[in-house]
Amino acid sequence: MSSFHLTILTPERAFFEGSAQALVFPTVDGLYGVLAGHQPELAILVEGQLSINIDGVTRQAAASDGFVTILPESVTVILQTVEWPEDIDRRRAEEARREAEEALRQRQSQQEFVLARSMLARAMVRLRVTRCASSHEPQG
Amino acid sequence: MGALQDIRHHRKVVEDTRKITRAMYLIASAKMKRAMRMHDQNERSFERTRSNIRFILESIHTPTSNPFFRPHGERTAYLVIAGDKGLCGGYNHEALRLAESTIEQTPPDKRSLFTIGHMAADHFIRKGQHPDVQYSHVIQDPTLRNAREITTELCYLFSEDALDNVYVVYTQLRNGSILTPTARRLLPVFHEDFMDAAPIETPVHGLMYHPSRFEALDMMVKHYLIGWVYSALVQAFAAEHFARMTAMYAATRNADEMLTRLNIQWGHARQAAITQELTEIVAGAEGGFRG
Repeated sequence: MSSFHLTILTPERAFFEGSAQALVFPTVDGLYGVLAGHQPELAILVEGQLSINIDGVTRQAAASDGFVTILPESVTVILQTVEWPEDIDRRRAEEARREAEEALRQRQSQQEFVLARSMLARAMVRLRVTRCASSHEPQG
Repeated sequence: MGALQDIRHHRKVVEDTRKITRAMYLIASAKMKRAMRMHDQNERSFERTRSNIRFILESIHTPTSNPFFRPHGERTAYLVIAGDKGLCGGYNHEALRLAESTIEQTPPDKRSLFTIGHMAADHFIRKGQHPDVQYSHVIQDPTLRNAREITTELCYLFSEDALDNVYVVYTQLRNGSILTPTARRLLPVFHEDFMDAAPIETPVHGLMYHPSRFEALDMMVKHYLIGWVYSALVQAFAAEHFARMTAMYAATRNADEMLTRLNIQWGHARQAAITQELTEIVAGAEGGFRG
C-alpha cells in the first residue's frame, strides 16, 4: 500500500507525524476513509475514534472534534484532544488527580506566596533595623 | 566586639534574603521556559488553522454566515489578564495601566469587565469598578481546558447578542526579552485577521468540502478562537514569569554585592580588633618592663 504524510496536531502537542497508509475518521454522516492519492478535501471531524494504519498495523485513538485538510502531498488533522487508548485510563485518572491537587495547590501556593512574602518582609525589616542600630552606635 | 557581631548578623540576614530571591528566580525561569514551549506548540496548530480559514474566506465571495464575523454595536467586554502575585517588577502595573486606558474608550454603561488574576481583580475593585466576571487561578495554570472554558463563555455571550466586541488586554513577551502590554480584539473576527496567514498550497481544481464549506469554517473559527485565547494565556504566563525572573535575578545580584562588601567590612573590623588587642598587650608589656 502506498503511504502519505500524516500530521495530527492539537494546541498542546504534535500527536502524530509520519507516513501512514490509511486514516479513518468519524464525520457527521459516518466514517470517512483516506488513502494515499485521495482527492483534495477539507472535512469536519466529530468526536469519535480515529483509525490510523501505520505500516500495516491499525491503531485507534480517541479524538475530539476538529478538521482534516487533505492535500495531494499531506494530510493534516487539527483537533483539541486526541489520545491513544493506553494513555486514556491513566490520563483520565491523572487529570482527576491533578484537578484535586490543583485545587489544593492553588490554595497552598497562595499561602506559600504569602509566607515567602512575609519572610522576605521580615528579612527586610531585620536588615533595616540592623542598619539603623549599627549607624547609631558605630562601636560596640 | 559589637561591630563584628553587627556585621555578622547583617550578613546572615542578607544571606537568608538571597536564598529566597534565588529560589524564586529559579522557579520563575523554569515556569517561563515551560510556557514558551507551550506557546510554540500551540503556534503550529494555530497558524495552520488560520491558513485554512484564509483559504475558505478567499474562496467564498458572499459575506459569511458565521456569527463571529458579524460586526455590530458598541457593547464591549474587556478581558484583562494580570498575575496573581506581585514581586515581578512592573509587569502587573504596566498591564493594568494599559487596561485602564483601554476600557475608558467605552462608556461605563456599555462595557463589561472580565479579569484573570487576583492583581487585576483587586486593582479594579480598588478603583471602584467591580469586575463582572473573575476567573481566579487560571493564570497559574494556563491549560487548554481553561482557555476552552473562557472562550466558550465569551462566544456564548457574543452569539446570544449580549456582547458586541471582546478585547483582551495581556502582556506579550517579544523576542523572549521585551515585555509589551497589548490590547487586541478577539471578537468579532474580520477577513483581514487571516490575510497574513501562510497560504496553503492548493491543487488546481480546488478543494472539496465535507459536509460543507460553511460548516468547515464554523469549526475552524471555533478552533481559532480557542487557540487565540490559549496563546494569550500562555504568553501572559511567560511574561509574568520573565518579569519575576528578571526582578529576582537583580535582587540576588544585589545581595551578592552586599555580601562582598560586608565580607570586606568584616575583615577590616576583625583586623582592627586584632590590632587593638595587640597594641594593648604590647603597651601592657612595655609598661611592665618600665615599672
